[in-house]
Amino acid sequence: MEAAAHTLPPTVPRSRTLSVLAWTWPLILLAAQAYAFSISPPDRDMGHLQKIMYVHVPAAWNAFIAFFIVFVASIAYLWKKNERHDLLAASAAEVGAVLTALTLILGSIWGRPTWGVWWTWDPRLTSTAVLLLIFVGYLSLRAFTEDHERRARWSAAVGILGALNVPIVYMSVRWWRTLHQVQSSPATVDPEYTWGLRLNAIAFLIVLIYFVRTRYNAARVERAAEQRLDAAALSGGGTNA
Amino acid sequence: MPEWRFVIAAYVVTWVVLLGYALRLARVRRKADDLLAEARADVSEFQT
Repeated sequence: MEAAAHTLPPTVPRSRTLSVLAWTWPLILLAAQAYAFSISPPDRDMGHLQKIMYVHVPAAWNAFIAFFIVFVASIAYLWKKNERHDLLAASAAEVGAVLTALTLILGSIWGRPTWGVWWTWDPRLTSTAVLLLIFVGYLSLRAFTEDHERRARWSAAVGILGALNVPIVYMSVRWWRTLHQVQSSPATVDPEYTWGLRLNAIAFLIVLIYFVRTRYNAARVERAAEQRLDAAALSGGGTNA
Repeated sequence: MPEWRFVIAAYVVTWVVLLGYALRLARVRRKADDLLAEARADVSEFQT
């Protein structure tokens, strides 16, 4: 038990890189947004509304990356049964859900002046909403399942199924006749907007890395502390029996 | 220009969501630190 007490870190570990990122991610994002604003002229059709692309599209891409992490980590958990994979999947799922919600809100703000509606049951919008609902369900499942092993197994299954929805969301604008334009990427947008989009995508990726890593570190420490408290309670510790 | 209202709203929402989540992460971290302190105290108490 003495060794057990010493294996617990004094606080949630934070690497030097993570400490630096904690203060620099807002600056990096702000710089990328300022750059994009300064170089992009108004769009011929949308005017200045085009500038919403620099937040809407990177948020969507990075939500997809987060769900890809969920997919890989969930498969790794089912294969190796290593709890770290489960905690990584849960951390990425939480961040992915936040970014998907942000994508939908931003899409709605962009949709109102361009399409005339805040929301429409367009395949891209609907499949994105379904993706968000799946991961809200995933997080609820984790919150309400007590048994750690069962929670990890069930959430890995939901995480894999949820992540399989990502290609459907991505391809929905090509598979079905939609109101939503085709995927925005450096290949499909005007060259004048390419670098602004790239830099903002990278800035969002840095935010994603910082968020997932910080959540994962906290989750690992929480789990280790819970295990220690459970073990102490089972062996009569804490009550000094 | 009315279109700027939507652009500003989009950027304000982005920052509110991202900073809000960063604050939530800070709270989660503090909670984990508290749990850690509790676990360390509990194990140490058991050793005595």
